[in-house]
Amino acid sequence: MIFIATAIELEARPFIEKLNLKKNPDHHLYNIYTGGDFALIVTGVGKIASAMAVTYMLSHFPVPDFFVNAGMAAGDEGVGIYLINSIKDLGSERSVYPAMLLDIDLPEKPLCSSDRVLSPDEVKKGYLYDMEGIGFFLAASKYLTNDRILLFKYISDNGIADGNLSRERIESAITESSALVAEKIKDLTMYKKEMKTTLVDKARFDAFADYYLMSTTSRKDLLKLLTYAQFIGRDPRHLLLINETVAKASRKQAGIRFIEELKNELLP
Amino acid sequence: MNYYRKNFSHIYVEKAIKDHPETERILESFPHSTIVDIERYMDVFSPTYQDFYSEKASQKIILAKSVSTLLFPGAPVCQSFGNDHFYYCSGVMNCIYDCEYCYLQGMYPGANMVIFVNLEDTFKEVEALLAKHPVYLCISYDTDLLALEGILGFVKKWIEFTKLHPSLTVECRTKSAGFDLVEALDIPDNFIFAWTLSPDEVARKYEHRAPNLSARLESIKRAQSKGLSVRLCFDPILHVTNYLLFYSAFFERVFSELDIDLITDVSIGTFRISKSYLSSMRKKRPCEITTYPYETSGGYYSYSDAVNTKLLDMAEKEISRYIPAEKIFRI
Repeated sequence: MIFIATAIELEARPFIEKLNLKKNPDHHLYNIYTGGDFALIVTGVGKIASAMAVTYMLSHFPVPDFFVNAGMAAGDEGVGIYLINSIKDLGSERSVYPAMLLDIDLPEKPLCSSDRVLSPDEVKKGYLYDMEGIGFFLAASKYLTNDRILLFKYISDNGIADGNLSRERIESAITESSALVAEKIKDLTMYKKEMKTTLVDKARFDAFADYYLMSTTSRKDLLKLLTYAQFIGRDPRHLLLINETVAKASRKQAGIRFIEELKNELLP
Repeated sequence: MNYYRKNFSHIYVEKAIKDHPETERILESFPHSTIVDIERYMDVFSPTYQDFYSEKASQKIILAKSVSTLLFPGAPVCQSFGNDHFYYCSGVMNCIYDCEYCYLQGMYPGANMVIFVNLEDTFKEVEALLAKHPVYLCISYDTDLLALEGILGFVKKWIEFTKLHPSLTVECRTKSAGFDLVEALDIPDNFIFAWTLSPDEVARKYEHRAPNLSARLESIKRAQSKGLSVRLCFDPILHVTNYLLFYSAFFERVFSELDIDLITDVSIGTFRISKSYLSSMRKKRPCEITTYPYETSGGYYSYSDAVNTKLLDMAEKEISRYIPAEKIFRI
């Protein structure tokens, strides 16, 4: 799954349309839209709102392959779409860093997250400014590693209270940028983490361990050996064969013996 | 299809060393990398929310200033080769190679490589130690400095420093095939290149990205042709399927190809690692090496005493056909 967080409905709308998302009726605290491999939450404005919504999402759904924050930012570079490579909380001066591992073909910028609209002398050249990025990242990083957290930001204005931040201007910036961001988000489905598969079937393992009256320690030892067996090319399913002729009184000892013999058999 | 960016696509630079000459020189080697300014290297290197193995697929460089000591007393699991005052220097953290048995995976939270550029401060520290006693210093434990020589040039700097200090003995441990990068230098006797060698079967399976045995041997031969006496490290010797077959053919090849008179000494050791590191490695990288049923003693995991003895006896017996026993160090 890929989760998307936007601050406002206006930012969410293009993704809802392009990814064929439908409003999820099971959640009333937030507007959540789901469909196929994607789920989107509208977080509200500001870092605290963003962190709360991300936490809600990750508490109510299985942890996704990626969590993406997409939305507007202010900056001095003109209209464009950027992948964020660092996020600074202007309140605490603390910085965090997405891992930047995936080969995503977009220009990059550092992002500053502020709780308020900044005055011109507070804005640094070369940086983007938003109000959610740091909250989004810190909440998401409690559940996902930083290679799975991505922020796409598009410039809508210069971040300064110049009175020109109209709905039309915002809509225009979103329309221009969202199509490409949606494509980049779709591409992320290629990068899904390979599932770690195990050949040790839990029901079979439990039946075997129960039969031999294994203690917790013995079960752990057996599981470790079976995991090792996988890596040296042995199929654990063929190793767990119950000898049904063992009398119940002798099974515990037989289990201990089994582990020792298995170890001897597996080691070079 | 490779979805990951190339290694070193990003270089993170601490503000404190942004204008350091080494920083500027290193950055010249990466004209296409994205430079990201950072306050503290730990913010990139140490957060808990990292995936070591994803990072290993696209390693980044972090240029930083060391603000505390980088010299540490040698660990009991490391071979001192009979030297007193045994230290190691952690001037670079992490390695470009990806060996499945390597303790760095357990020691560090992430796979990005931290390079402390203010080598001059470490040199001052070493000189302060030398004022008290001779020093035996291993400079390439937590990385492979020779493998990074094309970028860093730190081996050259250490060679020049070592030349000035006769009571300092430096060991530069490596798996690199890049001796040609320092071949032209005047290398003093108290600077020892130590090559870690493994059978090709082991190197191919467990030492990812590292040069194969032939390439390492060629590099050693270049060093020996310069008259340099080298150290050979057969460490870790691994308890893997067909080990007897692999290792006996391997030792025969190594000692038939190299100039035995130009081998300073040899170390042999088996896989051993602290409990906490192995525990971390098992979570990060479950594989044949990490899931082996090791035994624990004194806070370290290793093979059983019987297996350790079997492996080390086998190695010692093979090596002593070529090298005098007093030159073989066993741990």
